Formats: sequence, structure tokens, C-alpha cells
Amino acid sequence: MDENFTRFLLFYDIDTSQTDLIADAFGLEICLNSLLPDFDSIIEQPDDKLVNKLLIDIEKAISRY
Amino acid sequence: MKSNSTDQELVRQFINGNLSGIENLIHRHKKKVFTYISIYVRDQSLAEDIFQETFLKVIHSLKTGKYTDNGKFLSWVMRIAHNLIIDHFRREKQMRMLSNDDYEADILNEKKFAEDNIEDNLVKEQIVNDVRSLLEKLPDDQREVVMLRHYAGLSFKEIAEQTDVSINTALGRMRYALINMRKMIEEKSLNLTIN
Repeated sequence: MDENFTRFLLFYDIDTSQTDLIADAFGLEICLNSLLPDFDSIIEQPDDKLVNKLLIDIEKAISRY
Repeated sequence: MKSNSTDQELVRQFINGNLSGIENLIHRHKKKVFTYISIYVRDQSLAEDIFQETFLKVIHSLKTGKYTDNGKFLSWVMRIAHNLIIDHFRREKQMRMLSNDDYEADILNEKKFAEDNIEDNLVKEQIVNDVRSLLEKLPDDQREVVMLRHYAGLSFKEIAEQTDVSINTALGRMRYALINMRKMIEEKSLNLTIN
């Protein structure tokens, strides 16, 4: 990104939604979505045993608070 | 176990002493958090350790009043997971520098998908491996911004705060990451979509 773009961002005091709009305007988001698969298509499920152990650990940990 | 309550309501329930609040939150977000960690980390048992550590840190922060509720619980959890992953790699790098040993990925530890049919699983596994190796070839700062934006769902402003750079730098890193990824995908003729 060049200096003019930096000035542009500073001038408009860019906030969260605006930066995302800019990313969209520059085609960053579209490009990203076309290059990488989205979350839902590669989603992985943690093992039930792992989640159960975590819940037990949390229960133990909570007693310390 | 399913709850119709919002994340904020479940957080409040947990803070007020109702354990089912955090249980519901874990069940609601476990897949996203685990997938995020798995993309970064090749080792299944390491991914499981970081997953557990993430939620233990979450409950510690909730119970000690360190969480400010701004309606973005999942983004906050993803940030915690991300920081733990980065910490792990930093420690690993230091250990490697000390021991001077070569690191080899443990192929036996690569995870297996348990659902759908075998053919779908193989395609999915191939795609995840391709995505992972593609991201691994990016410089650290570019990989970080891609992961935080595309898989953790953070805004560019949040990414800038998280990585301690300006928004402009975060956007610039994304731009270079896209150029690099496109180049690699073309060179290797990769297809990263599931039909």
C-alpha cells in the first residue's frame, strides 16, 4: 500500500466496518474467498472425549475461583 | 445440548455461577475453534492441547473479570487460540535454536476426519493439507493476517490491534499474501474448493 493510501485511511479515521468496506473495494475479500476454501467446507470436529475432559477440567478449575 | 441464548447471555450465566453457560458456548463454537487451531498446527495432540488451553484461559478471563463484552465472544476466543499458537511456535523456535535439531512433521500424527464417507474425507483431507502447506509457505506476518481474517473472522481493525501494526500495514500484508498465494496456486495447479 502506498503513502497516499495511508493518508486516505488517516484522513477518514477509518473504523472497523469502513476498513472492511475498503478491503472489499480493493477486491481483497473476493480474492481471498476465491483462493481459499471457507470454514464450513473444511470444518473439523474435536473428539467428544476431548470436550468431555475439558468440561471436567473446567469444573475443577472453577472451584478455585 | 443446544441453547437458544445468545453468546452474551451464556457468558453472563457462566459468570453468575451457572456452568451450563460455558458448556453451551463450548459446544456452540468447538468446531470453529478446533478447525482454526488444526489448520495452523499439524500435530493432532498438540491441536487438542491448545484447544483445551484456550478454553481454560477463557474461563480464567471470564472469572477474573478480564473479558469486556462487546458482543464478539467468538472473535475473542479465536484471538486467545491464535496467541497460544504463536506462543507455541515461538517456544519451539527457541528450542530448535538451542538444540539445533531439524524439525520433521510427524506424518503419523496427521489428523483423520471421522465423518462423511471415505472419498469425501480424502478430498477434504487433501484440501486441508494443501491449504496448510500453502499458508506455511507465506511469511509469518502474511499468514497471520490471512488466518485472522479468513478463518478467525476478525476485522482489519481488530487484526491491526492484535498484531500491533497499523490498519494500512495489515491491509498491505493481506495484499501481498494474496499475490503470493495466487502465484503458488497457479504454479502448483492447486484446486482448493470442494465440489
